[in-house]
Amino acid sequence: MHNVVNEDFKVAVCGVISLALGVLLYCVMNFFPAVRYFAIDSANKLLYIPEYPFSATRDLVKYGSNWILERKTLQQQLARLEALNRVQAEALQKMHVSAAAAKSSYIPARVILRYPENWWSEAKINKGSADKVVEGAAVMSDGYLVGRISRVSKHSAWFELITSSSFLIAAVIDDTRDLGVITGDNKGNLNMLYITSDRYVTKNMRISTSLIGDQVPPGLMIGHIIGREPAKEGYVPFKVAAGAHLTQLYNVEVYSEDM
Amino acid sequence: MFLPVLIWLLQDIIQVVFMGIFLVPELFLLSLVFAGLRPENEHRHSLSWYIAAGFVGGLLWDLRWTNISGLTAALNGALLALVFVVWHLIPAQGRNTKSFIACALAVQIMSAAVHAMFWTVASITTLRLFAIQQLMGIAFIMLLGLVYKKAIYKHV
Repeated sequence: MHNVVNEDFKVAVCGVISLALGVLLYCVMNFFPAVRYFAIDSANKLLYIPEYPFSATRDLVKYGSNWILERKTLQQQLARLEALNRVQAEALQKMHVSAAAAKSSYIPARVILRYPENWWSEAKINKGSADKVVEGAAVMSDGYLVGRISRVSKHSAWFELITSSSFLIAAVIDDTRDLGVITGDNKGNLNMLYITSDRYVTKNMRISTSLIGDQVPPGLMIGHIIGREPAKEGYVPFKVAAGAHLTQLYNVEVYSEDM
Repeated sequence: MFLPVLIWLLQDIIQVVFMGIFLVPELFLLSLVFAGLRPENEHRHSLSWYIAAGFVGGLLWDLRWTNISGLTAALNGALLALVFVVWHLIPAQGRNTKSFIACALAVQIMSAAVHAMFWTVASITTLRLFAIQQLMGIAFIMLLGLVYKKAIYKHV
């Protein structure tokens, strides 16, 4: 009986210590984000070795099946774009204008990690500085802006989603050329701020990026207006629907200046 | 201690392979529950080690998958300690397959509920992932229940 009580006490103490240590770790990691990121990256590096054969097989199966489905569509799109390009090149030639070479490209990447707790804030992709991904670069999906690269390591990078509350990006309403700032709320919603209340802005007006830097070019589509909120101090916050499907974000493209 | 490492890796690899399709159930935690409650362990050897293993495995899981470092670790340690203590409060005659399944189910539900509280996602897709995780967890508990039943017959 004495032993049983002792054993129960020992087990209970272990449980309490676990709980306390867990809470302590949570606090330490939250107060020192650098420690947290170091620990996360170390754990990911350690697990990369046993996980690799399985993730590679999964990708092979997934991309193999996707490739068959997408190939036909892409070939049709390519034929259409080539025809359009020919027509435009001919028109430019007639006007004696030489076409400039493209200066940017998109790096295709796959979302490899998206924590449920930070679902609307950040995600990790499988391309890093070795693939010419740089901090601040725009991240696109389905032709729409979904975020911006926030941290880069050699073979992976984290990007901040447009729905993050700390994400702020200058944007323009295409129809009216009104400038504002797009921001998220960490809950999947987007708002456009700093539009004065006297402006005529209606539902379904499209929003794209404004000129804000080399890594996020102007004219990238973000979404469209879906509603307005009560005006505050002369400004109306507008509700915005993202163009990309943010809950099913598997493949993205990272904007790159290098060709 | 080799087996918990293998089960942890199995859980991790299932999560890697089926990411986006479903969330893996708590195979590691439930296996530790089984290891601690199995009939052969009536003298309650290694219970503290199981709690320590649960904590370390939980911490590694947090760093790899949850981004709330310490949550799964604390939860694993506390739930294992709780279930080990409660199990031995049950009279010996009552420690059968049904009570084992009830304990394992309680651990799974408590672990899932606490994790769900920290989620910021509320879409149909994530609810589907969560529902599949719970159903698979129940299936795994039933499997452990069968093994437990066999172990009882062997042990008697």
